[in-house]
Amino acid sequence: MAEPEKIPYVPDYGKKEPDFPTKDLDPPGQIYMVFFVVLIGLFVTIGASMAGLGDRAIYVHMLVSVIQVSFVAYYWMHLKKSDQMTWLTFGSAFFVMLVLFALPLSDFLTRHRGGL
Amino acid sequence: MSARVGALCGHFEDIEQQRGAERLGMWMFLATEILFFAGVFLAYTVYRLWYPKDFAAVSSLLNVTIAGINSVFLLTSSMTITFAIRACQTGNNAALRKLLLATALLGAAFMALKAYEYATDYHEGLVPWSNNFGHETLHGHDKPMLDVWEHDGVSPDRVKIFLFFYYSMTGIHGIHLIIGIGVVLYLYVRAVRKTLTPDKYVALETTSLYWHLVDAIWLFIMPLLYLAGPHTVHQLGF
Repeated sequence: MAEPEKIPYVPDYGKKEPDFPTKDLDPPGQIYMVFFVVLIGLFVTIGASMAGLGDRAIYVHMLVSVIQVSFVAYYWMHLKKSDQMTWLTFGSAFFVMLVLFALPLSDFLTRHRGGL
Repeated sequence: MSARVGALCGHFEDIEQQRGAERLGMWMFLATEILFFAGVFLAYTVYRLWYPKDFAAVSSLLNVTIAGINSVFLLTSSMTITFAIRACQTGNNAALRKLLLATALLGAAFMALKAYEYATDYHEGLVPWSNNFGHETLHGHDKPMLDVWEHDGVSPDRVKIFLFFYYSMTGIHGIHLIIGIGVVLYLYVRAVRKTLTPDKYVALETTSLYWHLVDAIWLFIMPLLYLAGPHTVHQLGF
């Protein structure tokens, strides 16, 4: 008896489709690489606060933090292999966060310079 | 009628579509978390730009050694939970259990050190609502901090504002971490019962997304609160 033709997009209730959970494995070297990057970033952050940079240390701190979080998000949070919807969600959150910072700061730091 | 077969739920066409939906759901939740914390960071930014001298003065009194060790704990836990996903995918249950337990223990160690730090802060008069606020002599000064601040032109009220940020930001972060520890322990129990099988690894992956976000938030909290003022190597205890 001939096999019935497979209809696309039929729910796979019977789990006939093969499942390969191992196809998206993170390479151990990549996991260690991110760990060492964020760890080195931590030491740089602490070192910058002891380097006599004064008020300028904040720029080093934030730059290092952004680099650290970028590595964590791209590799460990798997943005690297995420679909467009995930990138859109992440990008939307990031954009709204920028708006959230830009609008109040433009008010508080111009009308109330030096505090309330 | 329920059509759940294995890891696949009935309203998905295949397992990869289901996994994508689960990841997207967690990312949408994380988007709300990012905006929640962004509001707190925004308020902190405004006050720090207004009162940099006062914030720097009290930040220098916080324990950088504990913050540094806690940072290492969190970063290591983020690595162990990433390896746990790999162990789950490959069906290595023994490694999975060890890595999940290590993740939870590192998180618990972070909270234990945090509790110790809070207790130390209380005894050092760094709690705004305590009776001994500013009455202790700290870190090489020869008189109580209220006198030091008065001499240096630092406002105790602005010091209190910084400390409110310190307790609220680290407190909210700590609550998130406790929730994360609970979820990781739940996954550990599932691993022990061997119900966290390779085809269900995405449950661990979505938990790791949350865990990494809590880690990422700490990477901003740590320099903003603990390193807002100048520090010396002596403060690290070396």
